[in-house]
Amino acid sequence: MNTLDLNHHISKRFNKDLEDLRNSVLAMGGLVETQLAKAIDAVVSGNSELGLRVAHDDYKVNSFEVSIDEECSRILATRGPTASDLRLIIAIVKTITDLERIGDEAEKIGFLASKLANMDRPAGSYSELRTMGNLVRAMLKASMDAFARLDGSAALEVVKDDEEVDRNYEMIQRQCITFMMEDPRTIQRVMNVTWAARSLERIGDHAKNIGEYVIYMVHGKDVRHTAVEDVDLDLIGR
Amino acid sequence: MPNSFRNALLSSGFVLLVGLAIGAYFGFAVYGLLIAMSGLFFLQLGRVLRLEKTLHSGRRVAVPDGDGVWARVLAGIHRQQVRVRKHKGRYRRLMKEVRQSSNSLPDAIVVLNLDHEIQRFNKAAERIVGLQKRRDRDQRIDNLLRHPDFVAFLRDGKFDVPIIIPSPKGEDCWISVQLVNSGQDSRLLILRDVTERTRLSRMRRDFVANASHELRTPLTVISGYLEAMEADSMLRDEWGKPLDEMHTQSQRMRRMLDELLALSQLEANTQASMEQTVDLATVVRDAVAMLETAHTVSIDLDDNLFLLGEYPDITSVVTNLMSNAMRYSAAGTMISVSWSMTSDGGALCVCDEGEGIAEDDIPRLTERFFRVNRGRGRDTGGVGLGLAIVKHALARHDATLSVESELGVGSKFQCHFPMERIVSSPVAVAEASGGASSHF
Repeated sequence: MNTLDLNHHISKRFNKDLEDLRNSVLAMGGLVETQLAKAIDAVVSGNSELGLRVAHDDYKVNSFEVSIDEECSRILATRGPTASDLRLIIAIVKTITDLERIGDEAEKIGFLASKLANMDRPAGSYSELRTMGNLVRAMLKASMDAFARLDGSAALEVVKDDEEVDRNYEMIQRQCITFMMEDPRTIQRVMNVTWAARSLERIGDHAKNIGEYVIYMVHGKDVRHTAVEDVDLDLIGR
Repeated sequence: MPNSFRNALLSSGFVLLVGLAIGAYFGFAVYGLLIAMSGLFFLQLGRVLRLEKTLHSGRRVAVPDGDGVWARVLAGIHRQQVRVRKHKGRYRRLMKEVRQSSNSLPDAIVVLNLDHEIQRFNKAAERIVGLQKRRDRDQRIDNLLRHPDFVAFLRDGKFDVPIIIPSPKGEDCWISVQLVNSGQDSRLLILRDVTERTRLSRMRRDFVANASHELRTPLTVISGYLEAMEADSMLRDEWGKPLDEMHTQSQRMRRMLDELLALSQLEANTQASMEQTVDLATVVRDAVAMLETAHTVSIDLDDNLFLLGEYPDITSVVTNLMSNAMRYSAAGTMISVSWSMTSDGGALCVCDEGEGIAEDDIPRLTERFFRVNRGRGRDTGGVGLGLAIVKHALARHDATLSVESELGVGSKFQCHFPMERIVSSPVAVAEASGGASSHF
C-alpha cells in the first residue's frame, strides 16, 4: 500500500532534505489549520480583535510558501529526482499553493469577522457558519493527516467529504436569501455571512485538491476531474 | 580429571585395543586399528549431528542415562535451555505488565527518538491525539501534531515548561504537552487532557468579569444618592462624618471592581500585539507628573529605547509600581526609576527606600488581595490587585517581574522585557514582527 519510501536513498543527505521538506509542508499546514480555526472562532464569538489578528498573520503563511517553493526548486535543480521522489516534489509544490489560498480565505474570514462583530448579532449567532466551519476544518485536518501518513484511502475520504460541504454551503445561501427577503435592513450583514460561507466552501475545495495530490503522490494516479465512484473502483482494483 | 573423562578415554582405548587385537589375529593389525578408529569417529559424528539438529529445531535436548561425557554435555545444555526458557517467560510477563500499566495510564505517553520520530505509544495516545497503531511508527511527531506552538516548542528545545495547545481531535479540547529526556537517545512526550481545567479557569474568569460588571450598577446608584445627600447642608451638619466615610468607601469599592474587571480582561487575551511602539520613557515621565508625591523621584531613562506592546497595559504597570513604591515608603525618601538596555532585553526598574518585604512573602506578592501586613495598605488606599495586574500585563508582553527586597532597607521591582519586543526607533515596526526568515 505504502509505495513511497523516503528512506531508500544512498545519499543520506537527500533523504534528510526530502524529510525536512515534507515536515515543513506539514508545519505550514498546521499554521493554516490554526489560522482557519481562529478565523471561525472570531466569526462565531464576535471577536473583532481576533479576526484582525488572523488577517495580519497571513504573512506567515505566505513566507512559508515562498521558502518551501525555493527549497523545491533547489532539490529539483540539484538532485534531479525521479519516480516517487518527483511525484512527492510535484505534489508538494501544488499542495503549498492550495494551502496558501486557504490562508488567504482565512484572512478574508478574519476581516469579515471583525466587520460582523461591529454589527447586530442574530439570534443563532452564526451557528450555521460554525457547523460548516467545523466540517471544513475536519477536512483540512484529514487531508494533512493523509499527507503525513501517505494514506491514499484517507485522502479519498476527504475528496468525498467535499460534497457535504457543498450541500452545507447551498443551505446557508438559501437561508441567507430568506433573511434578506424578510428584512432588507439585514442585507448588509447577511451579505457578509454569505461571503464567509463562500470562503469556507472554497477552503473545502482546496482541501479536496490536497487530498487528490496525496492520492497522486501515493498511487501515481491523477484523480482530478474524475467522479468519486470511479476513483473508488480504481483503488480497489489495485 | 573428572571421572567421566577418564572413563571415556579408557573405553576408547579399550575399543582401539580390541580392534588392534582382532586385526593382529587376522594379520592386518593396522587395518584393524583403522576400522576401530573410524567406527569411533562416525559414532561421535552421528551424536554431534543429532545434537545440532535438536538445537536447530529449538527442541529441548534429551539427556541419556549414565555418566558419560555426552550425558554430562547434554545435561549442561539442557540446564541452560531450561533456565533461558524460565527467564524468557519472566521477561515476557514483565513486558506484558509494563505494557498493560502504560496502556491503563490516563495520560498519553509517546516515546520519541532524538529526531522526534515516534517509537512507541500507549493506548491513551490513540485516544487523545489520534495516533494510529503501527502506521505512525517512525513518523515525526510534529507531522501529526502540527499546531504552530507545538512546532516552535520542539524547535526551540525549551522543554522545562509544559505548553497547552488545542487538541487535534476537535474543537474546544485542550491538551498540555510536556517533554522529558528519558534516556540517552529517547524522550518521553506526555500529553494530558486539560479541557476541564481550561474550562474551569475560563468559567472563573468570566464569573469575576460578570460579577464586577453587575456590581457596578447598584454601586452607581448608591454613590449617586450619597452625592446628593452630601450636597444637602442640613444632612451634612448632622451626618457629615459618616457621609464622608461612605463616600470614600464606595469610591474604593468602585476602584476595586474596575481593577477586577481590568484583571479579568488581561487574563482573557494572552498575547499583546506588537504593532504599536510604546515610548516607555515618556510614560514614566507622565506618571511622575501625575502622581503628586512627597518623595524625591530620580529618573534615569533611555530615550532611544522603545517597546513593542500596548499602551494601556504598560501605563498601568508603570503607575502601579510607582504608586506602590510611594505607598510603602516614608515621605522624603528616594524613589528611583530606570529604563535601560540589558544583555538580554530591556529592563524597567523601580526602587524605593521603604520598609521592604520579608523574603517569605515575595513569591506571594502577585496573588490577588494578598497583603504583607493585614490592614496595611488598606488605610493608604490600596485595593490589593496592583501587582496582580502588573504580573498579567507583563505576561501579555512576554515579560517577567522580579522582586528583590530587604526589610527596613528598601525594595527593587524589576521588569524584564525580551529582546524581540525592544526596538531603538519608533518607526518601521510593522515588519519588525515579520520573522519572514526561511523556515529551513
